[in-house]
Amino acid sequence: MPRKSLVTLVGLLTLAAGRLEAGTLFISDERDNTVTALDAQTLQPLKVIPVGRRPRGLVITPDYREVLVCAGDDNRIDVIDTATLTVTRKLDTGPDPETLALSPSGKTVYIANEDDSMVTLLDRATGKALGHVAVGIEPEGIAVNTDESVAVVVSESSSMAHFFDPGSLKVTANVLVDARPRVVVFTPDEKYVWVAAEIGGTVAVINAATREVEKKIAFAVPGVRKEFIQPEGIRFVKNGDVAFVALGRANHVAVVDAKTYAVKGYIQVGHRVWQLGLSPDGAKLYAVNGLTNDVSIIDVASMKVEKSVPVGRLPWGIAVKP
Amino acid sequence: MDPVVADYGLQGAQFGMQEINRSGAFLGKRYTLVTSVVTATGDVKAAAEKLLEAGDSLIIADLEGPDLLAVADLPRARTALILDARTSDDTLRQADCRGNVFHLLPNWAMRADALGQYLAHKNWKRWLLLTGATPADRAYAAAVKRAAAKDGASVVATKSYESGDGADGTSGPREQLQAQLPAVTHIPAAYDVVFVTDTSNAFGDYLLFNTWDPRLVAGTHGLTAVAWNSQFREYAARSVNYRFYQGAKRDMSERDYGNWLATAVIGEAVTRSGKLDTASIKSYLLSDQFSVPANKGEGLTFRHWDHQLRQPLLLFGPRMLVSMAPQPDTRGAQLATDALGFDQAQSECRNMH
Repeated sequence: MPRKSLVTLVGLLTLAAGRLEAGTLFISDERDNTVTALDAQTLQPLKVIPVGRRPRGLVITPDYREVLVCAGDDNRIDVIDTATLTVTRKLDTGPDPETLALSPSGKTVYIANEDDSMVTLLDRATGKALGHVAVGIEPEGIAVNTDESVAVVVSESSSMAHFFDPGSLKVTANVLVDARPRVVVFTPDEKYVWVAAEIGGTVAVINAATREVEKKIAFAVPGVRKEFIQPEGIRFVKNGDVAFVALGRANHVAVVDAKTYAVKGYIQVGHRVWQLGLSPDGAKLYAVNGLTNDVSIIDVASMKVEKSVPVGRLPWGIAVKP
Repeated sequence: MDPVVADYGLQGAQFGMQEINRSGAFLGKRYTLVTSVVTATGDVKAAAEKLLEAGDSLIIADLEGPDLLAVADLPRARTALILDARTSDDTLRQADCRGNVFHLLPNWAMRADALGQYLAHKNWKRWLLLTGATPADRAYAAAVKRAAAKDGASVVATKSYESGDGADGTSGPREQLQAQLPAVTHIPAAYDVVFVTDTSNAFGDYLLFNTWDPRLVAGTHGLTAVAWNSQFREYAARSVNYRFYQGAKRDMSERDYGNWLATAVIGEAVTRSGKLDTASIKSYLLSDQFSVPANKGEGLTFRHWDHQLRQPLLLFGPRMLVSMAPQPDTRGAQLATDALGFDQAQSECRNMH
């Protein structure tokens, strides 16, 4: 990380520290059929919330009132009230929802139906299906831009990023990436789309306007076999200068300069690190470790793991409430 | 009851074609499968000649070893690319290797090494080798002896068993086996594991709980080393098994997986290289660029010395995944998967070009 931005970041953190409130971390436990709610300050469990079978993808709504979690084996989304920590509603999604995204307005839910090579758009308020988009095999990660003019879904088995128009539900571009893409995110300025390819071992940087792959970021963790480097979750720090990339079975999180694409370092975390979360003030990075059943709490300023917090079995994703 | 299946392999290839066509549609590519099914007594060479004459030179071969060699050695097949989706013969990777053949499923030596590594890791190093009567049984048994030497284990005795078939109508196979299997596993030497090689499934299923002393069973039965299992769930294998089942209405066998993998190899090579001609596809398969995702947790590549696909193997019990090979502490080979089977130094394959 360039020294200059590090200093800026620390400055911001100091300002924010005075008005921190206790937030909540929601972690989906795929094997336990639960969502673990942790107090973000004390890191103690607030509640283990029972949900439908095989919970994986989860998101928090823009008003922070609800967490939506995919219960893949029950073909539905469970809606958790973030105040009462109970499931208050269930939305039918069609077959095997693995992950989801929410429109920035919070009105539309985008669901990847893994077994049906399809994306389903749902009205969040009513649960009604608004439409479907046929995509490649095993769709997984989805991203939607701020004005909801462009959505991108990656298909794991077809190794593609499909751009589509949420209005017309037409696919507008199919971009080939390295093998088994799992995660897609827009950069904070929305000029680029980053796609993590698990088996290819790279992150593709796609120009959001031209839909061309401009760069493939590769990783090399000292002492780790190349085949274990499996990029998954991606998080940008707020100003967009730095990105964190979870490297799956390599058991490390990579720190990437998001402007030059240089890999600045690796942070060792738990086993098979999957998704990443960021605290609202950007001070803490949360790494969800699937095979050690814990979450690593990383101090962003120092890039050090401060603590590992146990959660349920096979933890998958994370949503953060301020 | 297990269903009687007449389309092992074929369903795998058809499923794979659907998949690469689904992906290909987004990129403007279309693949066609021309199927030629030959009966057990039919003329494989003639059927292959017909395909080759029609100009088809990307061939998925769901054939046994001798038929595969007969096809590979046809003059017209010289420039073809034959993807072997079925065999496990070590000889086809060694002295009988061919430059136009690529092997997708693990050979006997890979399987024996995968199990041997695990058994050694558990310190169960004394093996009673029990072989069936077929040439494949004996070939697998030879690979087990090789694995024992490699892993510091020992084959304390080798026994062969030919099952009776209860033809007299009075004693069914179960009664015979219940009497005979304890006898055949009753040997003076102490052993930890019965390593059984019964590739035609003549008696292996009866071995568990039928040994003289209470002993573990590994090999073709008990703990097996396979490329695929319909109960495999990790690395999105669950999705593949599910999609296959939706179409075929039966479980995906290892042979189906081999055929599915053949289509995936073609799809990957065509998509990534942008080439359509057989010679270019073949050289792409052997290049550093090629790797095929195959739901094993890593991209798979071909060994250039014998065209065998490197791959992790599943160590499956009767129902559940017990472990995966290579073991995490594997040493020696540059790529961990090359610890399974014939690494370059052990290769007897010559004249691949």
